[in-house]
Formats: sequence, C-alpha cells, structure tokens
Amino acid sequence: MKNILLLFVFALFVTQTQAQKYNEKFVKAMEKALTGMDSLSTAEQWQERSNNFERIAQKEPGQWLPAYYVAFSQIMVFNMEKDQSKYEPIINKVDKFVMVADSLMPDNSEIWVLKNMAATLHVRQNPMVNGQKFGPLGGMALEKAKKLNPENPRAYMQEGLSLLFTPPQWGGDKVKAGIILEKALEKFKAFKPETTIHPNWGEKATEMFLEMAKK
Amino acid sequence: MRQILTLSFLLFSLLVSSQTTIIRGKVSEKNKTPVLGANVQLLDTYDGATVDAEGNFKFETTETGNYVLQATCLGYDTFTQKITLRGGEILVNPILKEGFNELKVVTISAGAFEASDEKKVTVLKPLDIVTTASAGGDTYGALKTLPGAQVSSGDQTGLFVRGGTGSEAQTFIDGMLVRNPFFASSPDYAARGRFNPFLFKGTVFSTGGYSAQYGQGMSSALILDTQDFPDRSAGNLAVSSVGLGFGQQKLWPKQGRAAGINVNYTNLAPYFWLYPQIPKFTRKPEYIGTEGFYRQKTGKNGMLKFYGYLNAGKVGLSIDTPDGPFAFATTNRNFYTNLTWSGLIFDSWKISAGTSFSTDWNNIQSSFNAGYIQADTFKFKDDLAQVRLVATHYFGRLTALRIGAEHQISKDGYENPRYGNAAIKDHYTAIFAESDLYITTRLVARVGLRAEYSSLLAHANAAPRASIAYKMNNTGQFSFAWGYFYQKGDSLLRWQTQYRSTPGFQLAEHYILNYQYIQNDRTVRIEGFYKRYDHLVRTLGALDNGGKGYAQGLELFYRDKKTLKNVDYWISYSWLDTKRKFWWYPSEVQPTFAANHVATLVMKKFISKISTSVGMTYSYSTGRPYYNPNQPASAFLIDRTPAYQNLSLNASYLTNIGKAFAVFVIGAQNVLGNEQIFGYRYSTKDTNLRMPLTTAAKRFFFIGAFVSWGTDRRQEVLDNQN
Repeated sequence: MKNILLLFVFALFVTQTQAQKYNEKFVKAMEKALTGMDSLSTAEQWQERSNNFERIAQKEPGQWLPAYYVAFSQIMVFNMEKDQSKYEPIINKVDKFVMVADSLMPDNSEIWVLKNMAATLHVRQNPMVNGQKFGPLGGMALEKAKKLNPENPRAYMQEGLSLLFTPPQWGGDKVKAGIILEKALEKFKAFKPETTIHPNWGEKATEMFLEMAKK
Repeated sequence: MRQILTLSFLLFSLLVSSQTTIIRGKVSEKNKTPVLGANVQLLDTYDGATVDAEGNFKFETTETGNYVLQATCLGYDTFTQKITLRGGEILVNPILKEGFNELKVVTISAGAFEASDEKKVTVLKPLDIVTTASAGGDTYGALKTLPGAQVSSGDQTGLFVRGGTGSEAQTFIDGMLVRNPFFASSPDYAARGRFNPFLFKGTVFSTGGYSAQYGQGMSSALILDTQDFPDRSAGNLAVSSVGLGFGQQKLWPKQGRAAGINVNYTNLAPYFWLYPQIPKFTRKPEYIGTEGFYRQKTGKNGMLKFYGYLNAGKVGLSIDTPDGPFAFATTNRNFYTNLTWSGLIFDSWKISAGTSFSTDWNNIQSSFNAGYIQADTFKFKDDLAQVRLVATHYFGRLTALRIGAEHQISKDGYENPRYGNAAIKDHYTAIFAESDLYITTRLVARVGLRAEYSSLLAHANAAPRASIAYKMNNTGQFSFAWGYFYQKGDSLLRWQTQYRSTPGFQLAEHYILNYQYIQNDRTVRIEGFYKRYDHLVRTLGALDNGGKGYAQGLELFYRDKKTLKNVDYWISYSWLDTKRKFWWYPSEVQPTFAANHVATLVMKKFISKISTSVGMTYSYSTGRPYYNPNQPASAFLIDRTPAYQNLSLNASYLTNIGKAFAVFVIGAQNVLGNEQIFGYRYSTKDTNLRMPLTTAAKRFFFIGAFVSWGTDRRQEVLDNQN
C-alpha cells in the first residue's frame, strides 16, 4: 500500500513536471492558434492570431512560445499595415514581447532572430533617425542567433532578406542574398522543430524570396 | 467501498454539471465607434475572441464561477469587469477609453522651437541641425534658419533674436548657464559655437516667454540637453579641409557606465593658402581641443553625467581700415566642465542637481596704424562656478510642480600694462517655482515665478511668468506666453573701470501669441509678439538704467516633408519692428543688429539611388542700420546696409566602408558670391572715407569625411539592448 501510494505520488509529480512543459490544453490551444498561419494575408488576420497568442501568454505566463508568437504576429501586422501612424505602438509591442520571451528563455536562437526582425522594424519606421543605431544591432542579433544554433534556418533566411532589401551602397547584395537564401533552404530541409508548437515557419517564404533574388 | 462510490458519483455529477456559458457583446468607444481588433478574454483561461469589423465578439467557455473579463487594444486603456459564469448567455459591452497619447497632449509652443528625438511633436529633429546647408555643422548656424533670428549678423558673434543683442540670448547645458558658448572672435567677424551638436539629445530654442527655470536672457534661451547613455562602444574619425578629429567611446553595460573622449585639431592655414582671404592673417586660425564625457547609472532611474571641455586656439589678422592697417591677435583657452545627477526619489520626485565650472582666458593684442602686433596687450580671464538644484513633483502623468535654486559665482578680470589690473566678482542667486498645470490633456497653464539677486548689482528682482496653451483638435493649438525677463548689463567690468559703478538689472517684458498646426509631416507656425524693454543700460555721458525700447513682429514657419517625395523643406519669415534707446544712442532708434524682414528657405532631398543627401539654404534679409558719422544727430542710424543674400549648398554621401559607417560631405556657403555688407568702418580723420565690413572671403568651401564604427564589444551592446 505504501509503495502504491509512493508510486502514485511519484506519478503525480512526473505528470506535473511534464504538464509544465507539455500541458495538453496549452499545446492544443497553441496548435489551434498556429493552424493555417501560412495562408494569412491581412493585418486583421494577423491581429486575430496575435490576440489568440496573447490570451495564451496571459494564461501561461511561464511559457516563452506564446510571447514569441505575439511578437512574431505583430511583426507581420507591421508588414501589412499601411497606416504609418500605427507603426510606433506596434513596434513597442513587438519589443515588449520579445523581451518577455527572452527573459523566459535566455540564449535562444529563435528569439535572437526575432530581435533582428524587431531591429529591422525600427529602421523601416524611420531610417534617418534609427538606421545608424538599429542597423548594426540587427546584424549583431543575427550573428548571435547563428552562434547559438548554427542550424537555425530562420537566421540565414533573415540574413538573406536583409542583403536582398538593403540598397547596394549600404552593403546590400542580390547575388550574395541568393547564396545565403539557398543555404537557408538547405537548413530548412534538415530542420526538425523540437515540438509541434516550436517555431517552424519561413520555408515557403524563403523559396519565394530566392526567386526574387535570382531575377 | 461505499465511500469511494459516493465520491465517484459526486465527481461525476460535478463533471456533467459543468455547463457552457456564451459571452458576447460589442466593444466600442464612448461615442459608439467600434474598436476593431480588440482582444476580449476571460483572464486566467484560454477563452476569448477578437472583435470583428462591427465591433462584435462572441465566445464560449466551459468554466464556471467568478472570473474577470478583459478587453484590450493598442492605443486604449485596458477594460476589465468581474463576471460570474453559470451557464447561459452573458452580454457585456466594454467601452474602451483612448489611452495616453503624446500626440494628443497640448504643449506650450509659444516662443519655443524644440528639436528632440524622444518627443514626437517637435518641429525639428537633432539631425536637422547638422544637415542644414548654411549651418556648416554649427548649432547656432542652424537656428538662424528659424523665424525670430537674424541671418545677416556676420560681423558679430551670437544669436540676435527679435531685436535683442547677441548677449541677450543665453545658452544652457543641462540647465546650467554657459558663459562662453562661442569661440573667441575677432573684431567684425562672427565666431562659431564651441560645442559639437552630436553631444545633445535635445535642443529647445526659445525666442521668448521661456520657463522660470532659466534667467539672465532678455531675448532668448537656448536649452541643450546632453545625451544620456550611448548605445554602443564606438569610434569615429573626421578628416576635413579644416582639420582632423578622433573620438572613442566605451560602454560597460554591466556596471552601467560609459565614457568617451574626442580630440580635434583645426587649422585653416592650408585652406587659406588654397583660397586667399581678404584680411591678412598674421596667424592662421588654429585650435586644438579635447572633450570627454562620463556616464554612470545609479540605482534604478538615476544617472550621473560629466562633461569636460578644453580648447586652445589662436588667430591673428591685419585688417585694412581707412586710417591704415589695424592689427589684432588673440590666444584663447577655454575650460568647461559640467557635472549633473538626476534621478527619482520617493517615486514621484525627480531631482536634478548640477555643478559647473568654466574659465576663459583671452590674451588680446591689438594696434592701430601699425601692421605689426605691439605690446598693447589685454589679458582677460572670466571664471564662472555654479550649482543648481531642481526638484520636480509629478501629480499623475502630466501635471508637475518644479522648485529650484541656483547660485553662480562669476569673476571677470583683466591685466594690462597701461591700464593696470581690474576685476569684478558677483554672487548671483536665483530661486524659482513653476507648475505645469494640465486642466485637461488639451488645456495647460504654466505659472512660474523667478526671484534673483546679484551682489555686484546689489539688486533683487522678481520675474513672474505665465503661459497657457489650448489644443483644439489633434493637429492645431494656440498658446500664449507672458513674462518678465531680467538681465545684468554687458561689459560690467568695463563700466566698473570707466564709471566706478554698476548698473542695475535690465528688463524685457514679453507677450507672445502662437498658433501651431502639425499634421502628416506638415508644420505651420504663426507667432506674433510684443516686447517692452525697460531699464536698459545707457552710457551716454553718465552710466544709468534710463534706456528703454520695444520690439514687435510677426513670424511664419512652414515645414513640409510630405508634398514632394523625399524632399523636406521649411520656410521662415520674420517681420520685426524694434526701436531702442540704450548704450550711447542719443535717441530711440532701430538698432544696428536688427533687420526688418528676414526670410529663409531650407531644402533637403535624399536621393536614395545614390545614397546621397543634398541640401540648400537661401537666406534673405533687408539691410540693417549702420552708424554714419556724417549724419546729424537727428538722423542717427538712419542709413541701411544693402540687402543680404546667401545661398548655401551641401551634399553628403552616405556609405559603408567594411563595417564602418561613413559620410562624405561637401559644402559651399554663399555660392553666388553675393556681396554681404554688415556696416562700414569710417576714417576717424576724414569721415568721407569708409570701408565696408564684410566676410573674410566671398565664399566658403568645405570638404570632409566622417567615419564611425562600433568596436568589437558587440555582445555587450546586444545584452544591453533590452
């Protein structure tokens, strides 16, 4: 009886720790929020996803993934937003959630890729004022992302994108962008996300950008 | 066993009794406008929904009991409401209040031009100062493109604002008065400002009606705030047609510390050799300087800042006058330090404490009627030591009360073999209190009082100041400012030597009405003002405070970054009507430093294809009065110089060299070679003989390269990023 009780307590303990990482409800909610992300095409749709992730982040304050996806969705909202007056509050939100994710999961390659993307938003918002500060910061974030995980395809993808969209006199290079994007694609092919809810986006977009680089 | 059965039955009944609640409603603003994209959720659950295009939301939850429903949206304050879930349907209609938004808050814009990166509603950005063609990298040069400032003051150092003399415009760094913000000047040639514009994160150029925190400027205050913590360790190198510069800054993010040093050397000899000047330079201008800063974060919000500056320079020239050559040479050394601490204490009190010490040495040799420097030498030395303390208490987000005090000890002296030695010393104390009272976010009143005492003048004064601003909508606002502005006279040392006495405070009373409109990268400012001068220092016969005068005018400013693609331009126009009776003036007349109409056009265009920014500035000013000894006393200062025109051009090519950021600049001032006459120098023997006062050369050219790079402490910078 004592043994059974012990086993029971132990089982409870195990399921508890597993629950912290893989709480079924959490995974389900995340999977639902992640469904069909490839096909979103408007700022409103991304805002809805962002809201989904933000609700999960609120319920699971110890998890870095919801915060990661809030920041990511807001970056996508920025990309599709035409009203420039909304840029600044969006960037502030991106920065806030990147920071939350980073504090929950320090030294994560995926989060450093986000930091690069966040820096790029600052530059795009006001190149004259922010370019000199955030340009180099973005580059350094990518280096760190690659150092933490040399196999992270998204780090190479963002490096390729910045080479593709930076004007040549500022160090942009279409040919080099193509080479890096190909490398990113190779890494995508070999990439296995840790779980179904870990970052696994970008392969389709990389293929598209590679086409652009080759033109 | 029975117990277990009962237990499982109980459990089962609990399970089946869990029911679904539907929560629906509409999220809107007070005026029923739906808030699209708002996020509605039950706190501490996964359940919630996003508001649709009509503002509606609907979701289901299987939770029961007491929960909090929350609605959020960017730009709005968060809405929460307690609800009890027990199945069925719940209707909730959250009303979201617009959140705090800097763009919607009124600021006092009467008399104030602000350049800041931190605040959104500003007319200028700090970068505008360095990219203005006519400025040549000088803060004061850029300010001359704004309404209120004279442009044709090429013969006198300083900013001449709304009928004021150059000395009536004061410069403050981190709240503290700067005694010698300009390089030492030669007679009849204006000097540039000393301080590197990149030192400052924010600039407020007040052409009147400024805060009770500042004093001793009858016309204008230039308020400069030094940079806070730098972003990264970095180095920079400058090579130009006038000199060399090198700087390095280093960051210790873990310790919250940063320090930097710049060294620069300026020598105009090569340029003058290439492009001869009109006066004969016996000593080509040469300066060597160094500056350093130190920043230390203290506690959560505190920061200690130190800035130190040391510069030595010399220049000598021989000017042709109708009576023969006039030779002049000066060696100048300037030492400036500024130490401040600011931080929060007791949560709602912000303390800014500072001390500054500066010394300026000027050895001036001059001689009339001789082409060489002889022993008529004056050694001037001006010291200024000061302490300042300001405590600000915030009531809520906007309303604030400021109280403060400052004390300045100044000592001016000279040594001369013929006239002997003399010195004066002054203890100047000021206390002030001021409140920014936000009645609503659209209506603010600022009421302040400043009291000053000078031991040298043996006088005290009380200077009340008040302003009010009202924002009608998100784009337009009116403001009005009024105040008393006292100032000690200039040349107190000279009056002391000459008259053995010191005149009292001079007074200017300002009335300013301003309308400002900012929308979509377009700015319009219209400002009218009236100033009354009283107790101005007179030196005609006796020394007294019997002078008086007035200045009134209307100013327009229009800036547009939107209409033309990649083109940013602004237009300033100032109309000024002013008369004064002061100094040695026998009657109330328009003074020599005031022109009636001044207009400036500044244009900048960024050509992204070639990564080059091109700029032009065109300034026009009607003529200024000049002294003609041939006129009778009744026609004193009746003559006007010819109109002034200046077209300046510049181009900067931005590029990367490896990992370094590089800018190549070329610039030319007065490209068209318009003759700029600031006045005339008359012969003392034959008043029919005169020579114009003009610039040292028709045009000025500049070419330079500036390179900056981040050092290899990148990781630290990144870690500090958040």
